[in-house]
Amino acid sequence: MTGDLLFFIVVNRGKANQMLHKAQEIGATGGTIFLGEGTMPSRLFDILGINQTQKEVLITAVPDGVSDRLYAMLREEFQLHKRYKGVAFAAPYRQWLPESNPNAAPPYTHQEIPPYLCLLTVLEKGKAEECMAVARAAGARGGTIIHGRGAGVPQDFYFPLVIEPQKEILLIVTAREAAYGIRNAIYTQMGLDKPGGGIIFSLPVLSTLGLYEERGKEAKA
Amino acid sequence: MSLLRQKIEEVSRSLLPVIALVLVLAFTLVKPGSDVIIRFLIGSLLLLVGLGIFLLGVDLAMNPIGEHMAAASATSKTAFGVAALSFLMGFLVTVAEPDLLILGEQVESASGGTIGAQTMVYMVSAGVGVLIMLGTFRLLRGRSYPVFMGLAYLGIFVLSLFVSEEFLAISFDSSGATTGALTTPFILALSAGLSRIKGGKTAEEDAFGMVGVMSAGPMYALMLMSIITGQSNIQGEAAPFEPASGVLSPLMHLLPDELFKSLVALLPLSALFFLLNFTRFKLGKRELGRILKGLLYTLLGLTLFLTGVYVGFLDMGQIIGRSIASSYSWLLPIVAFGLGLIVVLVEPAVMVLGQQIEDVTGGRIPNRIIKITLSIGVALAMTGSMLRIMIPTVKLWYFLLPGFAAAIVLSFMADPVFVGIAYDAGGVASGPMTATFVLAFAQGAAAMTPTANVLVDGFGVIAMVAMAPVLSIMVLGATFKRKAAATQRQEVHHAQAAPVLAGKVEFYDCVVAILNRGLAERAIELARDVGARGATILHGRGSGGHDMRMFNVEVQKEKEAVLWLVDTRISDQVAERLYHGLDLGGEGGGTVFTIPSGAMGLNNAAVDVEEAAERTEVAGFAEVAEVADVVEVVDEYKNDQTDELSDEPQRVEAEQESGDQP
Repeated sequence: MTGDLLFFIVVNRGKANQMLHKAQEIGATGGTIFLGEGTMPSRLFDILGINQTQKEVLITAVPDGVSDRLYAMLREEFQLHKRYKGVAFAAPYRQWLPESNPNAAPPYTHQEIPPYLCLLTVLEKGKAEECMAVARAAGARGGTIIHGRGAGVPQDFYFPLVIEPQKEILLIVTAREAAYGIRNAIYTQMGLDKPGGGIIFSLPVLSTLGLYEERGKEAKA
Repeated sequence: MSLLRQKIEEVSRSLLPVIALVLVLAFTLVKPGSDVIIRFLIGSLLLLVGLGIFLLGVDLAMNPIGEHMAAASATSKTAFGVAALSFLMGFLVTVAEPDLLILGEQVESASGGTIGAQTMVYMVSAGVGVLIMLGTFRLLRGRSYPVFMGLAYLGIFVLSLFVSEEFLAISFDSSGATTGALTTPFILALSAGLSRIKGGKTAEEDAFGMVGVMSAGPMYALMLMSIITGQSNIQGEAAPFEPASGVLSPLMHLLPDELFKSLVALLPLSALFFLLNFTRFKLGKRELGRILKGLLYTLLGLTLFLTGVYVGFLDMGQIIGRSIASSYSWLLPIVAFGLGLIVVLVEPAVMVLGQQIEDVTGGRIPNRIIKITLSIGVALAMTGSMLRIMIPTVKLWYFLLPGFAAAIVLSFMADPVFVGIAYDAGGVASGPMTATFVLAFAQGAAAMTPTANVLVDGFGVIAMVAMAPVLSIMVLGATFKRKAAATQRQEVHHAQAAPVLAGKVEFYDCVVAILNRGLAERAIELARDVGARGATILHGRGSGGHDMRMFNVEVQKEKEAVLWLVDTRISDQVAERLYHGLDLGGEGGGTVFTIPSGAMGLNNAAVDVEEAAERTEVAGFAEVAEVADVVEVVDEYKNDQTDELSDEPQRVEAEQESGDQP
């Protein structure tokens, strides 16, 4: 099977707690929940300025063999395969513990090429929405924004404050083939080539549930 | 689901119980005319839609404006700059508050013209400005908040010895009037903005408390005015009660009126914002557009909301108060308790505060707990007020003095985040719903009780509603702290079985550390020592199965997640350093893991360690990096590398240097 997986589950606000409990019943060790915002591709809502929805992002690690059960649970209890219910995806990871020895590790035997990628773009606060528009033009379907802050930089004000720059992190999960175009579009159009413009990187995603593309396939099948 | 629908759903959850209770009363004990009931229903609908739109406007406009202004004042280069800007914000947001002018006119007529309405408005606004200024300095200097508030209330106690009871009631009431529908969300956002700028360990508790600080301003201003002018007793009568008749005419009469008042209330602050935007922030088109839309929503929502409240709730409140007091007076405390329990949740500022608590604490403190506590506090305050109206020997200060004294003592024992929230709760709970519906109810009850004084007892209700939640949330905070300590002791650290390692060699690893709150800064320092530079901190909440519960609502631990993007060759060292440096295996509790990153376009079948090492040597890496993966632009890196992607080889050298560093 697929080995240990780190699950990222994006759902509407208020559902993550319940979900985490169910996941723990199945065998997840614990989890961390972040507040985020989803974006909606609607021109009307964009004009009205109400194009964001409030989301929660649950990150939980699941041991080998449990992921199928987790997916089944997400389908049955939370209907993630239906529209507007949420998205889940899983990336390989390894936990660092003193006894683990990287050199003795078995080779990477997962699927050779991850079918999906999760693009993470770290931007200055307020730019994530614009970035989503760029990504959407390049073929992305949707994204989730999480708020974070950068490491502090001391500044010269009357009060000796350490300004911690506010950041937004945009998560986009997309099929690998589409990821190039999106990454290039974001890189060039969001000015990531300039100092301090932001960074973009990707995580391999082995399986997903509730993605728009996937739903299309399921409907046909 | 759009944001607006979410907001309206949220409002309807709070509003429906109120409608239900009022209708039950209207059809059983109280028999108002059918036009009053119809107006109540129309008013409820207006309130529902208006409040939904208003909350959206707060999200889109008030919050960013508050945050930008906080940044502008905190980052001034001189003390004078900080002082002037913070004073100006407090002054401008208060001076246009419509409720304050109404109160001013009441005071003017009650004091026989000794204290002019305009003078009072300016004095109170100046009082708020000074307190906001002091509060800003307190926050930025990092002085203790409980001590600050303790001193502020001590001063109020001392001054209150020199003023009459009537004036004391009006002083407390003026503080309720200044914390209106518009002011409170703005001050909340200002406080959150300041704390975000200051950052550090106390960022969370600093995000609250400014509303509490500002509500002391009007009390000082009015009491000082009373002492200076020698005006100590207020004689007056509340305007006689005449319920409006008909349905449409009161509505048509009120709507333009409320629109004008809301516009006036919004103008000074917006003007200051656009002035500062022109000179300092220079926001992008998109963001500015959003704020403009938000301001329009705020205006529209506030107008509809206030119209709904005045059309539907004012007369209804009076009628309920009157008829229950005259025919079923023993029921008065019970009805008051029920009303207090649910009406406070419809206050706009309560919803804004709830949202902010979730945002700031990353959802750790569920806003349901705060709302339940707030409800209980206000319900008890209402019951107390009714007892005071029914029993003339019970005085206002019997409640206020011990209440505030207990709150101050508890503030030193409570979890620090709750202290700010508690002091804020007073201003937050005494908003437009209290000032109309609840006040009307109390005045109605007082009018029908022969021993009560409509003016004094009416005013006292707002003071009570402003005091009780401070105390109840302080109690919650103290309980929370004790419970949290107990949960901590019970907790056993479960060592997790080492997972099977994915031995793939990548060029970047995303190292993620999930830590207890407050450890992120230390983690970044540690990682920097081993060569990982640039990091992003996320704020979340986590669960390891040992959660505590309060009011049957689950409370989780607060977590910080730190993300680094590092060369695969140092990712293990970074992880090891973090693991040992933060003692994650022991008491610290937390995990570090790595996720292969930037695998895009790389066919990594059969890449073993050696081969990868070879490919990493300049050429191979350049090829890989060109097609895909990671584009690091953290400032520090920029010194080592040029901007073009095609210059990757140079960058690889830089990477290797950093890799060899330890």
